[in-house]
Amino acid sequence: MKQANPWLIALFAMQLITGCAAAPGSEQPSAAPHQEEVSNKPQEPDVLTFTDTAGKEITLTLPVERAVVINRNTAEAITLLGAKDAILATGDTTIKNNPYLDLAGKPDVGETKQVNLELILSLKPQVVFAYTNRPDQTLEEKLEPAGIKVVRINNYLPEQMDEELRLLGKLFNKTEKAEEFLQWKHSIEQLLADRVAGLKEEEKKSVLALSAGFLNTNGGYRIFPSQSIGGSPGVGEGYATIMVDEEYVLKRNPDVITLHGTWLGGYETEEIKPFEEALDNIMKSTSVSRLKAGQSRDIYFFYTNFVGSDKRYIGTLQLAKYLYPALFQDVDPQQYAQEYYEKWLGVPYKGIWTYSYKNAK
Amino acid sequence: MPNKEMSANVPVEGKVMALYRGSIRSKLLLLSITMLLLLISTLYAISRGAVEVPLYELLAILFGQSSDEMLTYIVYEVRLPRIVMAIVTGISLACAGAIMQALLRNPLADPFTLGVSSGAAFGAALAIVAGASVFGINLVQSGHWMIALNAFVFGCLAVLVVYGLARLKNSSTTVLLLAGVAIGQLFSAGVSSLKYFSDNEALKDLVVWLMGGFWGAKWQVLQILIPLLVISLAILIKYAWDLNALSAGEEVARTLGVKVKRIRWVCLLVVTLMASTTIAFTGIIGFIGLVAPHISRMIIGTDNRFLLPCSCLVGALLLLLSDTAARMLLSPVEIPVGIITALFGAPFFVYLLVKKRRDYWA
Repeated sequence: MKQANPWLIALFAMQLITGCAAAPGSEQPSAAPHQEEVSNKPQEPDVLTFTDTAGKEITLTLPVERAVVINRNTAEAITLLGAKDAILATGDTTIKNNPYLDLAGKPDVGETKQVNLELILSLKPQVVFAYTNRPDQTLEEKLEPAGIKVVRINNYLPEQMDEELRLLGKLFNKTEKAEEFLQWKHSIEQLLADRVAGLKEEEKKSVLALSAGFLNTNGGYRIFPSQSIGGSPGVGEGYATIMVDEEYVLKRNPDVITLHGTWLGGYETEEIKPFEEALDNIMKSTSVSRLKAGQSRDIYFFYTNFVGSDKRYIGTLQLAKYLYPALFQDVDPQQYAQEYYEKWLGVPYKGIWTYSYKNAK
Repeated sequence: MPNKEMSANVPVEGKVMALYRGSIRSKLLLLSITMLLLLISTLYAISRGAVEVPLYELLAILFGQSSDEMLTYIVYEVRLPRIVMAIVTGISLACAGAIMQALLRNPLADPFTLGVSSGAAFGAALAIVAGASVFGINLVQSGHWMIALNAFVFGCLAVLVVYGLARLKNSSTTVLLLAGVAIGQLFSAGVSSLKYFSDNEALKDLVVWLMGGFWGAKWQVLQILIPLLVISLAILIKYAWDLNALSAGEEVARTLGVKVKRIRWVCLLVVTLMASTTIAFTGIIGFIGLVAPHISRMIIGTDNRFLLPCSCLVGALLLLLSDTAARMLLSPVEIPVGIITALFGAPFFVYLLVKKRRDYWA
C-alpha cells in the first residue's frame, strides 16, 4: 500500500456519524504485556493449508524461514512479530518508505509490476508475499513451478489486517505475539469507540478528506468518497480518490478538512516548516480559506500510513483528539505511536506523521 | 471593339464584386452566428454547476445586487474564471491549429505536431514526479506555478529543438514535421519513464494533469493568458492574407511578394508561445487544435481572414461545451476535460468527415 487509504477514516467516521455504541472495555490504553515467545515449540502443525486474501488455497510447511516480501506493509508486520530474520529480500518501496525496518541491507527485488524474477529464484525462498491489488499473475506463473509459493495479503486494510496478522503469526510461529499485538491495537480502537459513543448528533463535525498534494499543486479537489453518506464525496472512506467540482466543496462547507499524502512528513522528517508552507499556500491559493474549516483553521495533515494504512488506529485517535479535544484530554496518541515504534518494532520513535494547522499558530 | 469589350467587362466585374460582397456578408453572418452560439453557451455554463444558482439570484450576482456572499464567490471566483479559461484555451489551441495547418500545409497538423505537448508534459511530469523545477522553485509553496513554468519551458524547448533541426535542412517543411514527431516521441519516452518510476501518489497527480482540466482556474492566471492571447491574435490575423497566398504554394506566395520564411518563423513562434503557455496551466487538452479548424473550414471556407476568427470561436465553443459537460455529467464528480473532448469530439469529427460533400482542405 503506497497510497492514502482512508479506511481508517472509514472506521472512525462511521463511529462518529452513526454514533455506534461502544462495547464495554477499559478506557485506558492497556499496553498488553510484551512477552517473549514462551517456547520454540511449534504450536501449529508442520504443514498448514490456508486461504490467502486473494482467495487462493495454499499449503506451506511451517515455520516459514525464508521469505521474499514485496509488500512493505507485510514486511513491517513480520518485523513487529519478531520474525525479520526470515526476510531474505524486500520489494515495492519498503526501503524508501519504511526506512525504520532496517532492511536496506537486503536485496530489493523491485515492485510487483517490475519484479526481478531471477533474483527471487536465486534466493530460493519458500514463499513470496505480495499485495492482492496487482492482478498480474506473473509471480505465480514463474515462481510456483519452482516450488515457491506466492501469498497475497495486504496488511493495511481494516477489515483484513487482523486476520492477516494472525496468519503471519501462524506462518512464522509467532501466534502469541500476534495476539498480543492485536490486543494492544484493539485496546486503542476500543478507547476511541468508547469516547465518541456519547457524542450527540449535533456535536458531530463534518469532515472532508482530501489528497494534500493535488490540492497544493493543482488547486483541484480529489476527495475520498464516503460510504456513510451513500457513496457521495464526503468524509472519505473509499479506496481511491475522485475529483469533485470546487463548487461542491464550497456547498458542503465542512467543519474540518483532513489532508492526506506521503509527500510531506515521514520517519526521516524533522522540520515542521514545509507543513506550515503547504498549509499557508493552500489557504492563499484555493477556496479552502472560504470554508468553515479554513476560517477556524481546522485543517489537519496526516501522513498516509497514519490514517489511510496500517497505523490507522493511532491516526484515527489523533484525528478524534483534534476534532473533540475535550473528550480526549487525557489521551496522547503520540504515546501510542511511540509505543508502536519502540516497543513493537524496536526502533527509536521519530519523524512527523500528523500536523495541526489549528495548533500551529 | 475595345470599347465593346470594356462595356462587357464592367457588368462581369460588377457581378464578381457583388458575389464577393455576398460571400463576405455570408461569412460575417456565419461568424456572428458562431459568436452568438458562444455567448449562449457561456450564459448556459454560468447558470450550471454543482451548486444550484436560481436565475434571479444569478442576475442579481452578475449585476452586483446579491447579498449572498458565498454564491457571489462561487459565480465570480470559481465559475467565471473557469469559463473564461475554457474560452481562452479553446481560442489558443484552435488558432494555433489553424495556423499550423496553413503553414505546414498539412491537415493533420495541430499545436502538438511540433512537440509542444510532449515537451510540456515532460516538464510537468518532472515537476510532479521528481519535484524538480528548472528554476529551483520551492515545490511546497509554488507547486502550481512550478508545474506551469516547467511545462512552458519544456514545451518551448521541444519546439526550439525542432526548429533548429529544420533549419539545418534549409527550413524544409517535411523535416520540420518529422523532427516534430521524433522530438515528441523523445519527450513522450521521458514522460513514460517518469510514470514508470513514480510512486502512486505522484503518478495519479501526473495522470490527471495529462488529461487536462480547468480546476483551480484563477483570474491571476487569466491576467497572464488574456494579454498574451490578444497580442498573439493581433499578429496572426495580420498575416491572414499572406497565409492565403501561401496556401497556393510557396512559389506562388513568393511571386506575390510574400516573405515565406519570415512568416513561417514568426507565426510558428507565436503559436508555440500561445499554445505552450495555455497548456502549462491547463494540462494536455487534445483534439481542439485539430478539429476546430476543420469544422471551421466546413463552415466558412479556407480564407484565413475568416477561418482564423471562426476557428477561434469554434474552438472556444467546443471547449466550453466540453468543460460544461465535464462539470455536469457526473456532478459533483469532475471528468478531466481531455476525456470529454476526445470521447465526444472524435466521433463527431468522423461523422462530419463522412458526411461532407467535398474536400474542404483543398
